[in-house]
Amino acid sequence: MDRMACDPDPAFLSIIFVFYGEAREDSSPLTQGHGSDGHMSNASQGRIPTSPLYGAGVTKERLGLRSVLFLLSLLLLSMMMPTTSHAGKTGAGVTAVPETATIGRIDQPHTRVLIFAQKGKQAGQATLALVFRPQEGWHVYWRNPGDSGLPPKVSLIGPSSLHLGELRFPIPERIPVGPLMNYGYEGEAVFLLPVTFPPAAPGEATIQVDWLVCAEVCVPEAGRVTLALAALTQPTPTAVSDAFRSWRGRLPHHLPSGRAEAAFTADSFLLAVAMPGLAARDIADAYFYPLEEGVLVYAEPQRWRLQDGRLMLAAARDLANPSPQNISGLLVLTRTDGGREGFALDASDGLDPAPVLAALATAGPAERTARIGFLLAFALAVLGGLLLNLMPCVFPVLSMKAIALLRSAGAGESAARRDGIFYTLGVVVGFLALAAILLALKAGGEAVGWGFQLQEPWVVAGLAMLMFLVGLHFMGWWRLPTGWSIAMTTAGKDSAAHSLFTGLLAAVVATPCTAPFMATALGAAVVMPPSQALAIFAGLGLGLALPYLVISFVPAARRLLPRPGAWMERLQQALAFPLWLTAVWLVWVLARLAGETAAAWLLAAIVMIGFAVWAGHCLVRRRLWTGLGLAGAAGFLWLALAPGWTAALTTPDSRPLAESAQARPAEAGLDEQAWSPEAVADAIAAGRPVFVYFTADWCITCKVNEAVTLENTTVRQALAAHHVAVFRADWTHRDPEIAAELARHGRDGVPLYLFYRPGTAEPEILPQILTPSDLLTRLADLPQTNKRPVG
Amino acid sequence: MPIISSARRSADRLLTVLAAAFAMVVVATGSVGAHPLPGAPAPDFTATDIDSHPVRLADLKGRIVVLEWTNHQCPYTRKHYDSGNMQRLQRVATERFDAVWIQIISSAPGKQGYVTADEARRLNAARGAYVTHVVRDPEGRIGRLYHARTTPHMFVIAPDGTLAYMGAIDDRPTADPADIAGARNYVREALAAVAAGKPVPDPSTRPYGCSVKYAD
Repeated sequence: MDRMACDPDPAFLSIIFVFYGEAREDSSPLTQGHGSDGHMSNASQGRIPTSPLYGAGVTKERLGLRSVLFLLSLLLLSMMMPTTSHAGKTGAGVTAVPETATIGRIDQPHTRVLIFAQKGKQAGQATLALVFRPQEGWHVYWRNPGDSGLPPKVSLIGPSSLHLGELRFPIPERIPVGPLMNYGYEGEAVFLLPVTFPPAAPGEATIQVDWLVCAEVCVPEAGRVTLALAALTQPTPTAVSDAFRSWRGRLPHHLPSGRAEAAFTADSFLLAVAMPGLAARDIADAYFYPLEEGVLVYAEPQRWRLQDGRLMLAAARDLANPSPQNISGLLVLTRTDGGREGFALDASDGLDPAPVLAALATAGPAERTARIGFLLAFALAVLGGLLLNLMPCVFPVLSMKAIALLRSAGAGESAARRDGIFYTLGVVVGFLALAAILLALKAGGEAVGWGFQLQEPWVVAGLAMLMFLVGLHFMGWWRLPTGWSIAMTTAGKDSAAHSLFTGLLAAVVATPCTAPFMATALGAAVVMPPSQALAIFAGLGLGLALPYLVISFVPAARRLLPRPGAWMERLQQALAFPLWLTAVWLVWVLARLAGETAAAWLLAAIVMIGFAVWAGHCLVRRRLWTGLGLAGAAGFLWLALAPGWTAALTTPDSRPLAESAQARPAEAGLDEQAWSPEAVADAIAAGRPVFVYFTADWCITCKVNEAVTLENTTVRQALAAHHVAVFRADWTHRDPEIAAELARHGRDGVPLYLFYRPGTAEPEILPQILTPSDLLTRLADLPQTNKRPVG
Repeated sequence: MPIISSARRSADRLLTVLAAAFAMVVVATGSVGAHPLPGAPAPDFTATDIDSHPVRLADLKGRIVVLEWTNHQCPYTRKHYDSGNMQRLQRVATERFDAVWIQIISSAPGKQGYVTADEARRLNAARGAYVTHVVRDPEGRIGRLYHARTTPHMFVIAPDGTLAYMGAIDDRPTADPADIAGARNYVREALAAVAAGKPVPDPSTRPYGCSVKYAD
């Protein structure tokens, strides 16, 4: 057999010349006829590769291209179909009660109202039930309808001997309408009306019912109905009294006075309710529905915490309206089994705000709705993806794209477009796959966030080895056997698979870097329905692939490329080095995750891979030595990843650095502690400003921010001078508490920077690209009493 | 040479489009601001009315400005327009108090109340509306700036630029035109108070009407 020399294969470089030359319409003496078989022959045998581009394959390629485009657009479109979701929907079912038992009914275009009666315990008393059944998708309103709407009203027309009591409303739900919030009822709502009448009950009575029923639009409806009152004096049928029992169950309980206290701070409304015997694990959500205007902003989420039998709640205060003197309303608790209970309360003022603020500093709404709409999240995701191209961890893949670009420059229009499409497809599929795993893990209860794949040592090790292998490829020291189609240098239909693979790789490697805007988009994505969430991740992939996609479609840009020459060969080899530097970074991450010894084993595994490649090229008994090399690599990899083995071999000094980082003593000049919700609450209660930074070793953006801002002497001096409590939350390893805290602020990954002004429960979220001026301006804003002389 | 310059032009165009998209996103995310408060300066905004004239609140200092959020299909708005109540109020404001009346439509495309410039002009002509400017706000930018909740939702801004009144048009939150006669018209009260230099008796009331049809 004709063994080639053990230096870079000259044949594959000649291929680049061939295809490049074709595109620039230079007649290349190397080009032979155009065959219809698109296979690349083995260049080591010296055969000239043929191009399928201008032969019979063109039609097939065009069809393939169109169908790929069509499928891609279908996929994206179908995922963008918004699915409706309601916050706080209870789905009060329609009660099974015989309609023949009604004493009156009103039929309006959008609502049917059935009226039933139940004889009271004493003579002269009864309860009427007004059962509102709006059309599917329409709703009526609670006492305080929220930002808009009007509650139903009942008035007596006659006879005057009948007296109507006050309408009793069942427990409402939240109905968000764009940026506004309404309180009301989707589906059946039953209002109970106590009535009193003289012993000689009147035969009939006429009442007027007015209400507003809305879907997208609102329609005021009304009805005047004459009720047959014979039922008020006769015993109630069982079916009806059963129905009344279930309707009464939907009414709120009454809390005795003294159990609730409220207070207003500059921007918050605070409520504390004594609920002895209630445990935090019993409650999934708490919400306060105020009875009057001027208490809170309806559309803003509320924060709550149950501590020692005391339920504390904070809401954004309504500053535009005068605050009412007496705060009354409904506290609605959602149990973990999904059932809801309401407590009508009157809160006395005089609540001490400080302990409540401190307790709520780390609380959050259990039920989150996306803070931004779907389209905005999608746009931000695309923009974030675009900017990801500039981030350091995408750079190696950028170099692979550059090589592919040079290839496609020699390949003609449709192939270039096809490469662009397949690359985009690869990126999008890669992000979708990661997102699907993320969502599946979250649904399963795991506390994971974006970047989760780099919290796993085996992923980090695998990526490091992959980077090394691809670097070898670039160097030309290794090619996959021709049986496999993913060869770096071929154009033709194999290059589609290669573009796909490059795209997948780009998606995986890009995750540790969070570009600006991405955090908001991803944080919003994980609370949306799965189809929308996946669409947003697809948008991220689209943004990442967009520059290459544009270039592959715009011929003018490609014609800008310089002429082929010897420089191409050197450039390809030079681009192996950024890839190897990435491998070095990944080895460092593994060192932080699993210890230095594990990192050393990984390096050994990489060396064995190098041996296997060299053996396959340069030794006689290729298979044997390659096999040995691969076995060695696998063995070292196992040593790197098997925790028990490394623990047995390691001394206490080489335990994972991340753990020691949490406990490490204060660095010179930066007095920081490990983050915990209690520590933050203590610092806030002590009146100190607080700065919390969330970081992870595999997050390059985080490390850059820390190097630029937190290592800056001016910033450190300012932090010390203002006696700021600095907390570091390290998310290198999985941590459910940190994941929950990130989620509370609408984020799904690191970095996150929070700044708490002294005495405020709600922190300010600082930008993801943190500059020293971001911190310095906020510190300068603090009241001077906090300043301590720098000593 | 022509190849290179056309390539450069398309590259420039691409960059401009990207920069514009970037700017739009930044503006969109930055548009959630503080609540307008009575007594505080009214949030400034710039818009173009249906006759393509620019409208900037800061330029209207020195005159009373009335903002009216409207949706011509909402039953509560129709209560005031069909009965002529709103048109009378507009005439009083613009003629007696020399106020600038800005009618704002924040309905998103496809939602109830959305109108094109021509439709808005025809509607106002048909019902005899007496407004100075009609501003279409389909993205809800000005609506969100003022936290406009319902149609109608009224704001009266004093000549010094502070918000004198915000809230309902009157104190009878129904859709029945018969309730107009005996109602207390808050806007008229606010205009009179501002013109006389006296404090407005109820500077902030709960607005009633259909919700403003913002985009989802």
